[in-house]
Amino acid sequence: MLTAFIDHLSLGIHEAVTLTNLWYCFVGVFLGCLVGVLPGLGSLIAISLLLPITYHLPATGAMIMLAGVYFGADYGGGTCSILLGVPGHAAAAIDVLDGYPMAKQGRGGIALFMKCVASFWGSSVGIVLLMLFAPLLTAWALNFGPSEYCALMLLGLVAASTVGQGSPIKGVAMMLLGLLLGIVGTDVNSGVQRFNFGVAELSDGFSLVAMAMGLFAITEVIKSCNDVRVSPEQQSFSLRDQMPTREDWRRSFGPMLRGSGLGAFFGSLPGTSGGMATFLSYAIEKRTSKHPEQFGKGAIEGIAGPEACNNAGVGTAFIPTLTLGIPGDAIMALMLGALTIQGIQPGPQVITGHPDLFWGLIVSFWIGNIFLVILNIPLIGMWVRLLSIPYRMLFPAIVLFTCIGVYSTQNNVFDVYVLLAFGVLGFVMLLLRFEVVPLLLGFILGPMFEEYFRRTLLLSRGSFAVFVQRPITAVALAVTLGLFLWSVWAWTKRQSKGRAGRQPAAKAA
Amino acid sequence: MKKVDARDLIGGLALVAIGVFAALYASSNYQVGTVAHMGPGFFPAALGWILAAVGAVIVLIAFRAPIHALKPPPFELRPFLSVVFAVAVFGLLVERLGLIPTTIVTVAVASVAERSFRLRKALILGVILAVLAWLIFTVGLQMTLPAFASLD
Repeated sequence: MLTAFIDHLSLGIHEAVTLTNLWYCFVGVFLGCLVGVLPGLGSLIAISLLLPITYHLPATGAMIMLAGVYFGADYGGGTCSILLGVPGHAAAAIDVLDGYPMAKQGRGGIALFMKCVASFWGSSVGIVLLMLFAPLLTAWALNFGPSEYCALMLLGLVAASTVGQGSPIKGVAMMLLGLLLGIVGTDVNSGVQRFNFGVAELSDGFSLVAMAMGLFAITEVIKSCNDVRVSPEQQSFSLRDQMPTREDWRRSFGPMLRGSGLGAFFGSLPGTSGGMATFLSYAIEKRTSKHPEQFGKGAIEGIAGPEACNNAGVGTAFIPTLTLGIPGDAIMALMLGALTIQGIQPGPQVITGHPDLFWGLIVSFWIGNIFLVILNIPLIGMWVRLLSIPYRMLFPAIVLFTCIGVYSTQNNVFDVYVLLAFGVLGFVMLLLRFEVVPLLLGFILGPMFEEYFRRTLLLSRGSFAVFVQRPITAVALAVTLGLFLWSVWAWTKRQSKGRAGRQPAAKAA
Repeated sequence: MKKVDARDLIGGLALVAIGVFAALYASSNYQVGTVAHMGPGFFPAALGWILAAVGAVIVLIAFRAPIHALKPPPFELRPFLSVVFAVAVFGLLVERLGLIPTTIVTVAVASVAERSFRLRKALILGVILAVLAWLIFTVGLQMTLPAFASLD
């Protein structure tokens, strides 16, 4: 076990520590930070915006860069939360609660420093777990037949569409709509063109890049270009001002340990991203603290715990994504989409067929986190200045780069109109309070799900009994059903309680 | 107090329509086959009916739901239209005029979204972004799009 671990590590280092791959990683982290630090622009938008750039890179380089973008954007969102008191994105909302009060007390530098330390610790825990568990899970998954994949995908889809804030039924409806949109294009089994209505450009289906950018970036711009903007708290960010006191360190140690454990566990489960685990970590720290009254007024534990939790979860979220090819959330689904664009079929064969890509990517996660520390501790002043760029100049730039990015993937104007259509759809869905994330997840997983579903029933000669006879399949389907019923029940209860079910993030925003 | 939730009503009805359409279109245009040997129409047809059923549930809930806690964002026509037009203008012009003129027009149209829109400021921003876009995409990423294209 240990020798295998070291072998994998050295293979990964060999692959990741080349000048080109280090450069891709750095560019990814830097651009991710750049987009993520802007209010309202989260990892999903950052990844969709930068997906076109990776189109023409080699597979390993592209994945390394996208992972860097994810880490960078996730991190940048927290910086924005602490300095502006506005969540950079939903997952970073928790940083507002104690980070912003600290910034107002002139301790913003310390908050940012501790966030950096906690995030690095959390990421390291997540990455080590990923390295340990990925080979085990892969070995297990090699025995899976199509029915297991079918059931696990369904579990992932239902989890992601029901564990949200809104109605689980609407979430499932959006997931189904996504599956339906994924059908557009050529059927792999028969070669028949489905739902393309005579449009030649649709024979490969909708472009993932155009769709993701339309749903996230364009919708966000329409929604927020007239929002009132605040400017960051004015204060010094010299290295000395960022140094936490011994008391700060002592108080952050426990929360970081607990947070990373919690995050690692929840990160590996489907549908739990988007800050749910971080809120739980915050609640636990508040409950176990000797001075809970300080929470919400600048308690450093309120940053250390959730931040470690969030980043440990980022690492473990890659476990099911990379080993089974089953993503737990939309970001992981986009990663899988990028892998497919590179011509690599997601699943356990990634680790066996492309070990250099797999281990190189994981080692690059760690390198990316080192870049994050370098970019964010000495260079924090740069991001603070970036926060003072008026939004009036940013949003036309986002619209423009979205258009050019989409166009550049295939040099085809048709994709720009697809972008437009999904931008409008995303905005309509926002108005009608339908969630976009399950739609994207359904779209990405749709073709694979159909393939496994058809193969399952072909092998069983049309008998549905196969879904209850195979133990893993049956358990996964039972959990799926249980999760759906539970979330409908919980939602009904929340509905009758009315406003009581709102998360603290809504108040903070 | 019970009210009809207009958003769920519209959304649910739209989903029913999409689902029924997809199911009928798939089963009349593509071979459905049997469960053991599914044709290209089987999966979309089944999916369409399920979507229609879920849509119908949403419509039913719309009639029973209390007023929601989460307020939707207010609808503003101006940013919606200007962003939509900006993307459309980009699509229409990019291959006819080239990157730089298209960028300036797109940025100017998108800028109208903001209430304090000033044409001069928008044009200056457009020129800056055009140079930036040219540097990043044409020079840096070697995109084949010309900076200026002749009208034909």
